[in-house]
Amino acid sequence: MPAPTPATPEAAESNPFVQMQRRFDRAAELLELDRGLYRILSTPAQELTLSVPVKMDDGRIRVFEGFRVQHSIARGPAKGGIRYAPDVHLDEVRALAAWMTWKCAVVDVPFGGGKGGVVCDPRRLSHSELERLTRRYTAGLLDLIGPERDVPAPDMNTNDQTMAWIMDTYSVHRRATNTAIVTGKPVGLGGSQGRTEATGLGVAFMVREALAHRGFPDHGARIVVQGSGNVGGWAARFLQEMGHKVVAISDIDTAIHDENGLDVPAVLEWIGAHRTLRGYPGAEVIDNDELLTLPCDVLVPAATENQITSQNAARIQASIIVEGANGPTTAAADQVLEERGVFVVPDILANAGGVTVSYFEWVQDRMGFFWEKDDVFRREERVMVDSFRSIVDAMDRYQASPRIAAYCVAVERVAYCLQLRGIYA
Amino acid sequence: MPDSPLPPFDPAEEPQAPTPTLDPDDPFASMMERYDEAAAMLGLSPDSYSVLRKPDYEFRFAVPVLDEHGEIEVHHGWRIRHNLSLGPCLGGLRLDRNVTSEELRALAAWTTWKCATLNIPFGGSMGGMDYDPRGRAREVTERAVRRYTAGALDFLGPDRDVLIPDLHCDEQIMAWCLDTYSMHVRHTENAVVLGKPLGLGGTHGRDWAIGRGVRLLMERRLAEMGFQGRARVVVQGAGRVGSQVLRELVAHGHLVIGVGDARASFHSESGIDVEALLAWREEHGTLEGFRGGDLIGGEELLELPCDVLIPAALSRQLTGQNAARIHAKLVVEAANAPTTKKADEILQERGIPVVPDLLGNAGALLIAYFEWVQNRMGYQWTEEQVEDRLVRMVMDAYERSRRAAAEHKVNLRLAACMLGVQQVAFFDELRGIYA
Repeated sequence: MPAPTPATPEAAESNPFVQMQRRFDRAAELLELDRGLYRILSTPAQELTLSVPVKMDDGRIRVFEGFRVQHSIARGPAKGGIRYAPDVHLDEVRALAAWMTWKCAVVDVPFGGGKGGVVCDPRRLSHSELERLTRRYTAGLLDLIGPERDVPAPDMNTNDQTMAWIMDTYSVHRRATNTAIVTGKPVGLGGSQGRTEATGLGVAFMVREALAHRGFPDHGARIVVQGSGNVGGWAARFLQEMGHKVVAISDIDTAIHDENGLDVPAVLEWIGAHRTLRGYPGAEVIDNDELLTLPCDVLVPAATENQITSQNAARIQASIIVEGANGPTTAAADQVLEERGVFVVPDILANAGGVTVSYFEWVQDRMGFFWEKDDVFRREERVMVDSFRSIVDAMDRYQASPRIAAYCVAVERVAYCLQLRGIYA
Repeated sequence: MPDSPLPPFDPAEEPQAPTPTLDPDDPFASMMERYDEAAAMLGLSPDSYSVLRKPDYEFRFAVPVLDEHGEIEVHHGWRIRHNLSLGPCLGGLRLDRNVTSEELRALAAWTTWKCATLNIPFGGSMGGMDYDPRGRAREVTERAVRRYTAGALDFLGPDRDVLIPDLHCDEQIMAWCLDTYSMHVRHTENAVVLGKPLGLGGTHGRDWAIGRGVRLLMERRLAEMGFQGRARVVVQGAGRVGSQVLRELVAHGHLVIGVGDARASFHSESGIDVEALLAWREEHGTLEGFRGGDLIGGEELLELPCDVLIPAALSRQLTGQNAARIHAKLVVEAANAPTTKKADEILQERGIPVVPDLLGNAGALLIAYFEWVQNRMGYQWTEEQVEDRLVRMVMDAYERSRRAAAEHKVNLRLAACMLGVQQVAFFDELRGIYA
């Protein structure tokens, strides 16, 4: 796997792609994966770097650089987001594409892994410049993407409007409406009910399953949620609805704590109105380090990467960690947590509710018939619960932590398809 | 149909790689240097030129191959398109263990400029795989080449991107590419691969096109210098390009007084028997041991007093070290980039004109273009028709370059570059940017 080579051990610990590759290697070792298959899974199947010339509002031409990587298409079309960021680079996109392969395999949706990006600073682009950039980038990908080939989705700095432009550009070039080309579209333009809530809901399901697995009662658990965005916010809401107590929550610069349980809808309403958690009345303000090390049953890191590290892992008091964010725990911290018996539901499972409902969106687009929200949620629940059980089984089979077990399940599923399909000239 | 089956694979006879002089540290930048200069001379707007400074598409893909022992190897395949303004892309397929995307990027851009200078309706591309067919089982090479072709399939096509042979590719490899592409699209598509054998959509003239161009340009330039009659010529190289040049010169009454390859060089004031020399090389794979002239050093060969010096082997042969000791009246470049920038300056100061590679080996690209044209119409030109059109296009490119050189007061090399850049930038702007 081409990942940037970090200069120091500290840099390695904070590089989520290096971390991901290490876990893949560990799984490959446990599975005694065939060397040839290992080589295939360590190399992106296809990747395109393209020039994206855009006429700016002032009439000048700027040439942006764009990428699309398909890590594996062994299990089905590639699936993965498109990010717009000034510092996105090919190595990062490669690693994220591989990550998507494992994630889709863990929840057993029939997709491979892909990822895309454009090097740009979206805050410095006007709405119409963003539109032209998106359309030209999409036109450049036409030979690569398609509902049966590669299905993009929103990622960093892209949203449902971006997806609508992609769908339109693709459809106009193809001379036919095609909604299944991309997921994360607005409802009414081929989008799915429940997609907004999907990742947070999936996290809540995983908290529920982990608590049951560890013999906790089905209500009244004390839960700390780091992050209150689309993932953390919805997870907290669903967890409270399930009868648990969210005792602390945070946003990017503030964390609040109430031992008796916060009123989650009120907290989220405050954030909606004030754009920050700061000033929320009736709760104790704590710092991020205190948040992570509070005594609780479940910790849900749902903000950003590299939160639980070798620095603080020994002080984490939760019995269960459910990773709503991608890569919140470093491999070094993994070891500490494992020794201390903390049950970690890994990111590739815990936040896979999002890609699961993306898959449902693609299914609904293909059949042209749309499910109601309850129906989407019920189907998501089944996928997430089944996946959780297959990981628990794999823990026994491979005598491995939930994370390595999840990688084992994923790699095994992809390798199985590769082997059956064989190598065609 | 050819009488005999395909000739056996011979790495020594691999096609001349169309390699401009590349700085291994930054091949693209070093290639672009000359074109940056050309763009500056033309006063191109930075906007229109910025599009040309990056390849349009750079596609990399995994090529899994079952090796001789049934194990899976995974190679990297590339296809890079530099520019699509003038038409479909045309570019080499390079099979080499050390191939890099930087090098391919530079070669793709180089082909764009070259096609534009010659007025043929192609953009430039380049592809390759980090696989070297030398020393590998033929069936493994077949699997690798077929899987490469299948992997690049979405980007290939007679109206999209056309393959020509480059390093370590022979007619058999090109035939596999053609077959794989044709099987996938469910019809025979000759025009997607060029450099095919005659009878499988190949064209006449592949064995003389470069030689003819070199000889005609040489005679034209000598005439302009007031030189008439038989020229005394030194040729460096006796491989695919060199042998064409040698035969062409002798057939038209010129005297070859010096020839050399990587192993040995020869000199004879009364003229070398070219057919005997090429027969020796055919038999022994090298000129070493040949007895039809005085054995001299490779450096000495380039410095022989003569009317015309034709480097037809490697790049970087005329350098700052030896340019002051060149005793030719004229240099005609049949190889790619045989002259370094420093040597160019010295030769110019000394009043020795150079017909640059862009024109000197134009025959190679023109013949590829003609093959594509004949495949598209499904009708084969006679040898005379190929020759007639080739001569016209080579001389036309020369004339246009000469006029541009006079107009801008630059040498022929820079003038030829300027023609290419101007052409591409003009059509880029005309077509505009469509989402």
